[in-house]
Amino acid sequence: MHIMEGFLPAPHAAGWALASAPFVAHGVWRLGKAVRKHPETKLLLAASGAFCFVMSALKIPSVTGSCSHPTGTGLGAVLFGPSVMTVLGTIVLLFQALLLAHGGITTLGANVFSMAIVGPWVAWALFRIVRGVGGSLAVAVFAAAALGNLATYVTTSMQLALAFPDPVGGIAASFAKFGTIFAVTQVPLAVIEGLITVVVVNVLSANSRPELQALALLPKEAR
Amino acid sequence: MHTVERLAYTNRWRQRHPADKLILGGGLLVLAVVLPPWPGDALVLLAAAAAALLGARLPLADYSRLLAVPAGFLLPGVAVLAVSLEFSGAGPLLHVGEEGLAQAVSALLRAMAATAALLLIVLTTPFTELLALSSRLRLPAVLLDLMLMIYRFSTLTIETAALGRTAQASRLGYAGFGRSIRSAGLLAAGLLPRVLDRAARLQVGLTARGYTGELRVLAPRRAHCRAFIAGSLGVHASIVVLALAAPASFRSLW
Repeated sequence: MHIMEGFLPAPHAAGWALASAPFVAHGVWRLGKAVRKHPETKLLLAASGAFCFVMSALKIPSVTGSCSHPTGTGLGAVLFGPSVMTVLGTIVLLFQALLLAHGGITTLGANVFSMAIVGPWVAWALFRIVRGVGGSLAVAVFAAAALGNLATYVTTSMQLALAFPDPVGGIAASFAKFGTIFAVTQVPLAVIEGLITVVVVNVLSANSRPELQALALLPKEAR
Repeated sequence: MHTVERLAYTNRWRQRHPADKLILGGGLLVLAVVLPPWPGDALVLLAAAAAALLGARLPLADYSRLLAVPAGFLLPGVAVLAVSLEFSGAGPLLHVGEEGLAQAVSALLRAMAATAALLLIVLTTPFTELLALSSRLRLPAVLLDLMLMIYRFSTLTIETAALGRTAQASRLGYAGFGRSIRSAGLLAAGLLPRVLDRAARLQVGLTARGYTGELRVLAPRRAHCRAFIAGSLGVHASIVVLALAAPASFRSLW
């Protein structure tokens, strides 16, 4: 769920941009280091970024009959690692604003925070935890994709609640309002994204071992 | 994506310097967020739409469709703002209050004005020219290179994805819920090796041509237009004056 251009008041837009900046800067610094060490990773990264952008533009079936789009953060975090995904996600969000008029420049910071920082890190952490306690690959991928997706919506609800506290009930009531809307519309989508991501990872690990090994060149988080 | 790019390459301001257009649109965007929504954002919306339709001569049908999409996304959010939730002794209580309504209308106005300002930039300036402009911002080189390459890969990958989807749909791949999930997963999984393979082949091709980690492309030479910049700043200034000079009673309407 993108926050549209101009929807947030100026102080909130600036605040979220400042909150996101260190994460993005850290990701860019890591990528720069990786590219200096292995110049061939640059094209690999570009291909991965294009993949994320196209993934986020794919229509996925939704229960209500209308179509929606996956966030792709879970898959990206599992394939590329969260700090790489932060940079790729930021670029994807910028492209969506400039090429699809979806999202915006003033709300880029807030959208980056929910979709390129919280989403990937939650997804990656869940993936590690589930794998760590002996869960199967499918369960780990499903948890990462579905709950990573859900985490972005909870973050977005919180951002909107902070920006628009309810005149009567305050921030808590506003969070409850936005959260209810998202729970109704987004929980099914999160489950669907989880299912699709499981299919993707299953097919990739059956047919595309060399490609997955090539992606291991990307900077990985400390294990 | 097609509509945005088609308009960006065919509008009447195509030959203007991208920085000139960025001054006009970016200034309007800043005003949209900073000025009080009424009447400031109404003026920004009016100015951005006038510039797009009368200045850049964007077709009304395309333009209104592009502006309507974000409006559709906005409505649920605005509706949430208009309704107030109160936890009283008898459980949660929903009602439409004056304050919530004012919040909703001002958020709607601000978002529409800001979207119109953003559209003015992206519909008159091709993406590659915006990217060339941002290279002056002293962003890390790795980020700029990545953006340029991701853009070039994306257009190809979107075509591949669309073809794959048509092929799947014509084999009833999207008939029924379970099958749709499977098809969408297969499509994404098929896309990754293809795009990585394309990157690998490009790597070989570039290396053979002496690629040292820097892509140089020719940017079209464009002249700044002083009259255009002066006019843009004039529009910004008059919006500020009009917005702040509006009678207080008029402003506090919301």
